[in-house]
Amino acid sequence: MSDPRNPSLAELEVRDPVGNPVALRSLWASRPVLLVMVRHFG
Amino acid sequence: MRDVIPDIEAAGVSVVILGNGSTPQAARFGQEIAPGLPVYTDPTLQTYRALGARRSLAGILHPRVFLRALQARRSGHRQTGVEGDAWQLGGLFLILPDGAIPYAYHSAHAGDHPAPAEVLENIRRALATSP
Repeated sequence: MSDPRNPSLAELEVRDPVGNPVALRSLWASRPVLLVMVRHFG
Repeated sequence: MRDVIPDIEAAGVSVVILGNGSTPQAARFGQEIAPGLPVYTDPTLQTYRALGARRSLAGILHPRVFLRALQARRSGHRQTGVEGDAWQLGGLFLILPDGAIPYAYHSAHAGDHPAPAEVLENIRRALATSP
């Protein structure tokens, strides 16, 4: 069982710009993804 | 980075932006900074933690940060404010459909980004050697 304070990537959700939850794993389900994690949006 | 995005996509890789601010901030970032790219946000920072992104005051106050800020300013980039976690650092992660991550770059300090050509080369190499 994963630690609920640090769930695995497959269990995580992010939000799209409208606020809808998106399963993180769906981003790379069909093809490879370069995930660019920015420090902030400023 | 923008210059190599067509080459990255031509290699069969989608480019996705993830930040940690609010959803309106994500929408504005997508419209103004990254048009045409999907933008998501994780204000909980769980994704950052799961991928091992650094979060530190030292990373923000690193001497190179000021040099990179000056270089960015000369290139026409202006930071309008911190919209998200001020201490959080970012990174780049190539993630394959099976969940494998054959290429990762963790920023050591604010403004620490790999050269775009290096990113493209690492992606091509990783894809060539992945099963």
